Amino acid sequence: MIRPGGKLTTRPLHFIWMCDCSGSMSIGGKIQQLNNAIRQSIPLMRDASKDNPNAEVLVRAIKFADGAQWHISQPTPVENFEWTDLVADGVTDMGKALSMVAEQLKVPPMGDRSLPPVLVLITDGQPTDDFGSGLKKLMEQPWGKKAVRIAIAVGQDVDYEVLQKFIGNPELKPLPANNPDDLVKQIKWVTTNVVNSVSVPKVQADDNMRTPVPIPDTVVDSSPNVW
Amino acid sequence: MGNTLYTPQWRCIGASVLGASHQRTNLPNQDAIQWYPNEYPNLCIGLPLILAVSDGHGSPRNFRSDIGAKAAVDTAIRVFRELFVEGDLGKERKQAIAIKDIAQSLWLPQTLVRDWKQAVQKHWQENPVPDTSLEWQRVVDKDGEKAVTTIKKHPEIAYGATLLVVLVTDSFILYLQLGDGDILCVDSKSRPTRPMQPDPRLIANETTSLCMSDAWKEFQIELHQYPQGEADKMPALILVSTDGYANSYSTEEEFIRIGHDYLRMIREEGTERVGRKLEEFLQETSSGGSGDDITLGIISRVEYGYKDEELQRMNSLAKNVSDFDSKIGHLGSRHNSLSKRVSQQGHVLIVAFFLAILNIAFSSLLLFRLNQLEQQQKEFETKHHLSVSQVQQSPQNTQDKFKHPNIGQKKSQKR
Repeated sequence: MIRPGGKLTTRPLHFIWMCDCSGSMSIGGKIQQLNNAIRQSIPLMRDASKDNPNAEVLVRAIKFADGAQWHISQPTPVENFEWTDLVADGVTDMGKALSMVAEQLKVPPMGDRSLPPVLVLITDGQPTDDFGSGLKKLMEQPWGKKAVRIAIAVGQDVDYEVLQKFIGNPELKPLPANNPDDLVKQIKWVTTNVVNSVSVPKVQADDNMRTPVPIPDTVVDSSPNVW
Repeated sequence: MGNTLYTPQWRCIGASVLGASHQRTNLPNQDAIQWYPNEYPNLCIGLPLILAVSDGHGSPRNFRSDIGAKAAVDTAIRVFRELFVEGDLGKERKQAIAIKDIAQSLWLPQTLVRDWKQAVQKHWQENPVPDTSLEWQRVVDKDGEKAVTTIKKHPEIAYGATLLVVLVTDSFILYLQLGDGDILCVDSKSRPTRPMQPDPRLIANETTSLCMSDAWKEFQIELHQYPQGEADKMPALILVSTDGYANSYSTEEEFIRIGHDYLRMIREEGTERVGRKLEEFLQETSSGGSGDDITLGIISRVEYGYKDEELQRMNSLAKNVSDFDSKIGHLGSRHNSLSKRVSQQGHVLIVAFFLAILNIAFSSLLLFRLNQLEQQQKEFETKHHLSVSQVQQSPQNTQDKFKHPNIGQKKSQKR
């Protein structure tokens, strides 16, 4: 007797980097530190993925400055994922990036058996376009609503209120990164803890039907603020 | 010979396996399954049949969900049995209206949730969690200190689980679901259908649960009734599974192929043989798929070696033979009745025959006697006539005697 049913697949876990490439990200080497931090996190992400062989971590990246553009458009298995450096120039069209991500979270192309997607927004400023419209489009999609939305605030000029709206969970605050070490730590935390947490087979929904995510420890150290 | 010879028996088989990811993290199997008649994993045959499946949540705050899932299926079997097997509805299943009322009202979900909460709260009181327990630490790590306070106030959260129940009787099927998981029906032509629409909110690993406040409001209930003579329209298979099964396939189409495959397999190999292979199938599926615990219960009215259409044809043949038998029986009884009447008539005829014989004998006797009498009468008359004639002749004779005295003497001498 042969096993009934069609082809078996592990559950896809879509991980999307949303990177601010506005001109201000070039100040103080922020964009280069971001490139380094993401590059360093890849092996950690691979390890986290290996710990959860029934989840297939698929990574891509979108960048926003003057408009938005997919930096790595294909959902790439983390084992094959390579980071290409970003270059900073332009304004902060964050709303456009949210709209484009919303398009990709529609069903299809998304299936209905995925693990919750993880969206990681990294910015050092304030949106220059219609952020509200982009967020609305994202939240209209079931997968947008269910996505684990994490925000990393780079430097002191970030609009925390905007990032809190993006996160949509008062218990989860934007992760501050005021120096290169913080940025690396925050990105490492996201790529390990969040990936592990989302891979858990099942959780009971809270009253707002939000995907529970781990509450981060205070991972920032006492290094001086340089941004 | 009855027409029940080929009527398939309803059976239930099932298995529950520890998920591949739970094996890696040393978590227990947080699913549970139970059925009636008999108890899982023992053989389950006959109607009314109840199958309950539950999936305990894997989150740290639901750290006793394996016990919660077991309590859920045990509570469901007990409540359904009391109501539909031992209660008034079991005795009078024609009370379709009452069943519909129960199915549509909130009484059943409220009873299930209340009884489940009582069961898990009792367990909590009898098995308190020490403050130093690792479970609390994991809750803090994942959900913060606030979650610990909430669980201590509402301990049922630690036992959070889903619940899927199917009740099959000879005239209706009742489906009930809270939370994720799949109920799949397969008709005799291998066509899969879902009796209940999937809850669109239940994506991304999230589920409604028995431990939610107002959980009874989250139940989906479906009642399918089958009037007498429409039993053939009942599903050939009903598959009830926890979501770890469907999540092991990339699409709905890939998943629902299990309906066709299990039906074919059961027809070819028999329900019990397939039942013995289920654990192996589910382990392979979890390992190559979702990694989650998987539980599957299959309610089957499929007879080994036969397709449903063949069974229908055989039933039709059996019915024809049965009709023929009853006609023969009817003819036989008419024959007996006729024989009885003939026998009664025979007795009458025999009596009549003897009466006729007696009549003939009596008539013959009478005739004989009459002849005798006639003869005697004739003799008498002859004598009488002679006497008279003698009397009439005597004066003359006397005269003759006087005239011829020898003549009279000579005649007298001749007689």
